Amino acid sequence: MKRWLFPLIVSLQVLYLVGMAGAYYAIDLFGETIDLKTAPVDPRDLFYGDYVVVNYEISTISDEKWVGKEPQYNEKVYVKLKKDGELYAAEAVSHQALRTEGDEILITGQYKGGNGNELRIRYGIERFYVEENTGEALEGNESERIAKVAVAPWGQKKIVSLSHP
Amino acid sequence: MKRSWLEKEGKAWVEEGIISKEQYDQLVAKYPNRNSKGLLTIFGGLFIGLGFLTFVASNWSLMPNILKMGILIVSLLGFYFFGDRAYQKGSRSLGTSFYAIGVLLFGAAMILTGQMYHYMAYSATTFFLWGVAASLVYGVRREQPLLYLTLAILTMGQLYSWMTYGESHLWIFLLFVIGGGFELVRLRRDFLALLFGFGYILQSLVFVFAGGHDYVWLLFLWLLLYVATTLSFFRFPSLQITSIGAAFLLKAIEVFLLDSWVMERLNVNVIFLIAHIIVAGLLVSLVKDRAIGILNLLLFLPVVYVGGDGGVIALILLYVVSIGYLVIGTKREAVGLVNFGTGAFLVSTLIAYVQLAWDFLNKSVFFFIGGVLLFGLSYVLNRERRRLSGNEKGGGGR
Repeated sequence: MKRWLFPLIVSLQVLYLVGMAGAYYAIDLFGETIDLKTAPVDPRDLFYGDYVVVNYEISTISDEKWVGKEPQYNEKVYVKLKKDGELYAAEAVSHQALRTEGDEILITGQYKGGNGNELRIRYGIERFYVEENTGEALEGNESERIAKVAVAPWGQKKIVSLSHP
Repeated sequence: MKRSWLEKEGKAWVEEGIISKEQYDQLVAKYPNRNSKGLLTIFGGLFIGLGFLTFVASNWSLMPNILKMGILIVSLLGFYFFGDRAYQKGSRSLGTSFYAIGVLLFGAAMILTGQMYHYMAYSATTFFLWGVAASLVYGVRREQPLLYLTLAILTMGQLYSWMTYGESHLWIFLLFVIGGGFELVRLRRDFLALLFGFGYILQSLVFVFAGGHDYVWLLFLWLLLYVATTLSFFRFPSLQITSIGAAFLLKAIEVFLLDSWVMERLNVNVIFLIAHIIVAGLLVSLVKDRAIGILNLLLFLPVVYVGGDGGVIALILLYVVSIGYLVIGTKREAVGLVNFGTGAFLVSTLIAYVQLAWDFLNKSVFFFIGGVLLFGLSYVLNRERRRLSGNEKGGGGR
């Protein structure tokens, strides 16, 4: 058995893990930052341990904006966002990667079922971790906030900051 | 006897001229120093490891991500490194178990890293990659426990894919079938064949039901397995029994479900029908024992296409197969076939009885008569069987 094969296999595994972590930090370098409005949050749900549950306005999208055949639960969907003033709002949702123009951006999410004529989409950035004992800054005002979200060209995204409008 | 005692006494014997110096060396070499320190070291290591693990587990959410990554990668490398060192030094079982821990850790690390950095998974691909990593480690070391671990990961991954995403993962299915099948042909282990068979049945269930395909595709996939066992390099009895047993069970379920009001009638799927006929043809041309082969083929018929009477026909098929086995077995005086036929006949009768009598018999009468019926049947069948096995010891080529 070739001696280098085993180290190679182990290195690949480590490399994959490092890559997963590295990609997250690389969002800052290559990503595009957009501002999203968060929907009003139930204050009781606001603090869940040391993170805030973030509910975006684009987490529920009217089913009129759906393009293509009906989505399945848990399926991957592409959401096209369009800049509306300072903030981005949902323009269309589809199975396919829709074409975007200048002030539009495409992000991925997971279809989490419908609610009446609304589609619920999860983006994987619904939690924002806060340092311990700094929660007060976010507490009190249970209404809307602006989330700065960085989106990488490879589809990954993360919350950069959460602030009052 | 203690080695230290032998060493002390032995020296005295040499001085007294009872034994020579060479004989002393030989004697001492005969009782190697059992390394009690080694055992303590292992326990020490185990305790420190456990302490570390519990510490990490209880403080996990408080640690910064970079530290978590560091811990994961260092422990991953550590297990592989020390496993490899032990393996190269000759303690293969210790090395293998360290490799196995390394593989498990890699999967856990992928999941934890995904959580840490908010990765969103749309399918069970993480499990596929885990399976690939496991099979690569197995491929380099060829230690069978690692193979079983790989198959377990792939089976778990497929079930996870079904439960979490409601879909089957094609690549997991392919890696299981092709990789597992390849190793089965190479190693020719009966135990492995059994595991492979069960895994295959599970994977095919997920594949068909999660994929939203008509359930008749199960018949196709299982017939495919049965045909494969007619090939000389894939002739594993346990696989054969698994495929036929699964088909028998499905027919038994069909007896109940194919009453027109329980299940909607399926439209005839032309692609399935063509593929199924081709595989059936393959079976007929490949199988050595054609009578048994065709008899088994009855279990793979898609009776659902008949319509409202599908349940009755499934029941009739079960009986035809059972009686067929009994007749052929008796004629050839093959005990194995008669045993199989006996069991199949009893099960078929039980099913027929439940299906036909449940609705219009008083429940206690139902069980009472059923019990008497089965007792009587098993008495008659067993008497025949014993008469046969008393006569000769012929084996049955199923």
